[in-house]
Amino acid sequence: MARFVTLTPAAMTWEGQTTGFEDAALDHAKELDKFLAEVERRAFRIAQVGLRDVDDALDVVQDAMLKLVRHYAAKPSAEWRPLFYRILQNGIRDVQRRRTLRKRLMTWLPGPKQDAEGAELDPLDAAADPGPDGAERLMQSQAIQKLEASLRALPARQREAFMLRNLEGMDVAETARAMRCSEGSVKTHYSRAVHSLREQLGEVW
Amino acid sequence: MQQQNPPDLETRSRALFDASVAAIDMRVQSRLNVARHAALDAAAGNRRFRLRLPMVSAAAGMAAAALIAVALWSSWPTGAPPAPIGTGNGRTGLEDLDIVAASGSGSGDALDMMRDDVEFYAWVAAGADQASAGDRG
Repeated sequence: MARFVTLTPAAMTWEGQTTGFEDAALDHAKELDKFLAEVERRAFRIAQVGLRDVDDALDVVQDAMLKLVRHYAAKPSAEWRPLFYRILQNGIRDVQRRRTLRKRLMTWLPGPKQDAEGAELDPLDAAADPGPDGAERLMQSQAIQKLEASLRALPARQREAFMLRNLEGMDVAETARAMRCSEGSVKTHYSRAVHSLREQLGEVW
Repeated sequence: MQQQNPPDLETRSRALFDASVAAIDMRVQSRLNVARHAALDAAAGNRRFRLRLPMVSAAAGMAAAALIAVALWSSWPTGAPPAPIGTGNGRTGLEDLDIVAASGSGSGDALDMMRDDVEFYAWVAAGADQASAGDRG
């Protein structure tokens, strides 16, 4: 009787030795690791801008990573970025919806009111580490806070288009895939976002 | 980019965003690393499961076939084949086993069949056992 069974041409064996198939899987895992390491910090900042909370932003990024590797790891690596940011944006919207619901419920409940949305952004979260050039860093910190406040004031789709297109550097086609809309819609949302930001930040900048 | 989008706003906002990304503290970076490794470990676990599943299924199918064979043979103590079950077409348990064995050659249908419905074949075997006992009694 045959001692091992070959299930694929890549010689996967009954005994479980390392095979060509497994080597390819390991390479794929390394590629995924590299991709996630590249996007995780920027994804966190995008989530933080949308949610104004470090822990919620970390949760959303982690959830996006898990969903990407579980459901889309087999996709070509060129598709990971728009897919990842689509999952991330969905996660951000889910948290925002939950907060809105919680806020409505809290208004009907007795006891002290807690307003997660109303909490002011802790400047320490956005501030850079103090360095030798403190004044410049402080100005930079204030500028990014103003930018974030202006971004939060935008309609969600305009904010997504601006953040993905400009801050994340995705092209129109990738942004359209991430936002699940047409390229024309991306251009419209982006153009309106830039116009609104200019109005809000023009005097300051 | 298009003409109506002034490059100063886009360039400055991108530079500020890049600076804020670079200023992410070590605590957050550490948590991001942990999240990434957790996600990749979950994916690796899924992949190992998928790689082993066909082999486990094949082994389970073979074990089920062996179990049914033993059950059919044990229900045949007097040399007389067990009574046919249900259909009344005179087909014996041995013939059933032959059919199962024949359909398994090359196609793997028998293993798939038994893997899909092991409980049914165990019930068939039990029925054969009872019928045989009834004949003897």
